[in-house]
Amino acid sequence: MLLDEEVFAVILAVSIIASALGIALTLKPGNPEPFTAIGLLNEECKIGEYPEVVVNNSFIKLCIYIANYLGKPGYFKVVYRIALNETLPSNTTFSPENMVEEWRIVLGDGENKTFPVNVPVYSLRGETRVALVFELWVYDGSANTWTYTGRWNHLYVNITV
Amino acid sequence: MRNAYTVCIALLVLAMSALPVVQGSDFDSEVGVLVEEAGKLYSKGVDVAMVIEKLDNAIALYESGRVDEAYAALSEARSMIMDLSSVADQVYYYNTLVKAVTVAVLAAIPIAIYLLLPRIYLYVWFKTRRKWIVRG
Repeated sequence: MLLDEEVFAVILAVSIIASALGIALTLKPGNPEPFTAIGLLNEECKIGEYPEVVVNNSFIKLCIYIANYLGKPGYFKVVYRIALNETLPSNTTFSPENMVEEWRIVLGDGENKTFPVNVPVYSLRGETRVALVFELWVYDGSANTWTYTGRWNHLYVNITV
Repeated sequence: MRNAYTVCIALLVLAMSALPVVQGSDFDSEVGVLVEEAGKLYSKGVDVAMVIEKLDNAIALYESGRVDEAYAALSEARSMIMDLSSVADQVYYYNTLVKAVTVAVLAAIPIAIYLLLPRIYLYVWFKTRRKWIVRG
């Protein structure tokens, strides 16, 4: 059987589609949708089983996960604050509460890092239920400022004496 | 008039505190500049993993109170960036050339199939049947 014209046309069409797809993948921009991420993990650096009740003025161990998908290296810091329900951060503004601790880190594009932290926990303005807030900030080298990324995690804990 | 100034300044301070930005320290500024430089090299296709590692190491030293060692690590990172900057253009041109060749090869595949497939098929067809005997 000699090469059928219809079979030949199908093979040619498949090759054209594969070629166009290959060219599109080769010429696509590096990172069309840049983003950052922060995650809060328990003492064993796993999701779940977070502490719910904490003694006032004690320390608890947690893990923080940060990921950089900005399409370039980034200089980040995680800011820890103790906040109340009405002083939680939002997507655009950080919490107005005082910073308790911060951790800085440089990540390459596509990199992530998980690191343990030991944070102090205490009652805020006499409230027994507080939120442990971890905000992600990125350094803007051109403006020489830290900029809030709009990403944060919080964990509510009950304070006991 | 004085009250108006006070109100203006108070409003300005309020407005600034509402913005999601905070002024960085000198150390942050130095790290920030180096990260920006590393970003420029990365955009040209240069592998900056060593620089990132060195900067992260400098931050760890700074946070543990070893400031002199931290600044020494920053100097090392700066010299690594300068070394990489000298080859950045070469890497960029090489990567661009590789990309152009890849696109050319991919674009040539359908043309090659259109021109060569019938010939190759016929060649193979005849080759596999050359010992065939045709009986009338």
